[in-house]
Amino acid sequence: MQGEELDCAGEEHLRSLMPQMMLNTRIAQSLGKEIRRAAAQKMRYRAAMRGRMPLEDVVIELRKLVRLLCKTLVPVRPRSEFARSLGEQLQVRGTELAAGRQRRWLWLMVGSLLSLLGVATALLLRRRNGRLQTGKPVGVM
Amino acid sequence: MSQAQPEAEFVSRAKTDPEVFGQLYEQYVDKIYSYIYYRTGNHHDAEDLTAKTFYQALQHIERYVDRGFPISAWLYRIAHNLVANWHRDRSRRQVIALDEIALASQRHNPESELELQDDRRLLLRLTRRMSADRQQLLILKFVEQMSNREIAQIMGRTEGAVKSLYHRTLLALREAWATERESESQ
Repeated sequence: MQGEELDCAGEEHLRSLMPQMMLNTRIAQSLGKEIRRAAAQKMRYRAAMRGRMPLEDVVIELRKLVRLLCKTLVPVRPRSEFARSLGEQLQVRGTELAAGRQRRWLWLMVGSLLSLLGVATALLLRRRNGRLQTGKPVGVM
Repeated sequence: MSQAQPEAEFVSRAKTDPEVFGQLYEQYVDKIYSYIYYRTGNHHDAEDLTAKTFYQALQHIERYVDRGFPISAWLYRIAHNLVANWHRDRSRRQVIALDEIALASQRHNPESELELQDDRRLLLRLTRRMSADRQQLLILKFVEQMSNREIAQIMGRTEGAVKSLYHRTLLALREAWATERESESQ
């Protein structure tokens, strides 16, 4: 009787553990898949590495490539007529720009001078008007 | 420009004196033309863009600020931007007319020379398929024979970054070369 009770209790206990066991099995299965995938990846990598060129060969090929680049990418000169005429055009344009800059400065100076003159005149007129209103003669402090 | 004359002084004079700018032009026109030619692949556009580069330089040299880099870095930057715009804007078919260079070599042994020309054509084709940065690096390195430091100044990168880009470019070129040769043999 007591033995049967014990069995039942054991079964109950196992039943309560079932979801956890299933979960563990799933984890183990997914872990197994991950390991297999990683192993396959590593094998592919090794196979690829076997197919690759040794470093010395890569260096030799790169040297050849550099030599070919030296022979291929050589300086190119423009047509002398083009270079000369562009130089002349730039000279003309440069002179025009310099003259333009000078003109701009001149106008700027004239403008500044005129505005200063305007301000001075306005101040003088204001002062004169103020004196007239107070009745004092102009120039008497 | 004389060796004794520092570049900064030369450039500051070029800002106001068209004669000095003319000297600057004479000093760099071949280099800029060469660079643009390899980036565009034809003389017509190379001439057009070289003229634009120097016109822009003339227009903006007044505002040029010396940051310790050579003036050539600034000129190459203008040329690079113009070429980038040219590639972006043009809708026409890409012209690959770099054959004259390959054909210009001396012909000692006709067979080996033919092979060499073939290799050079392929190399130019592959080079022009690369990104703008990689093309620029190769041109500055091989055509202008600049040091990594000079290239770094022009490209606005560190010397280490240029070395790394150069290494990756060579590897990519080798890979492309092998693929092309493989497909030709099949």
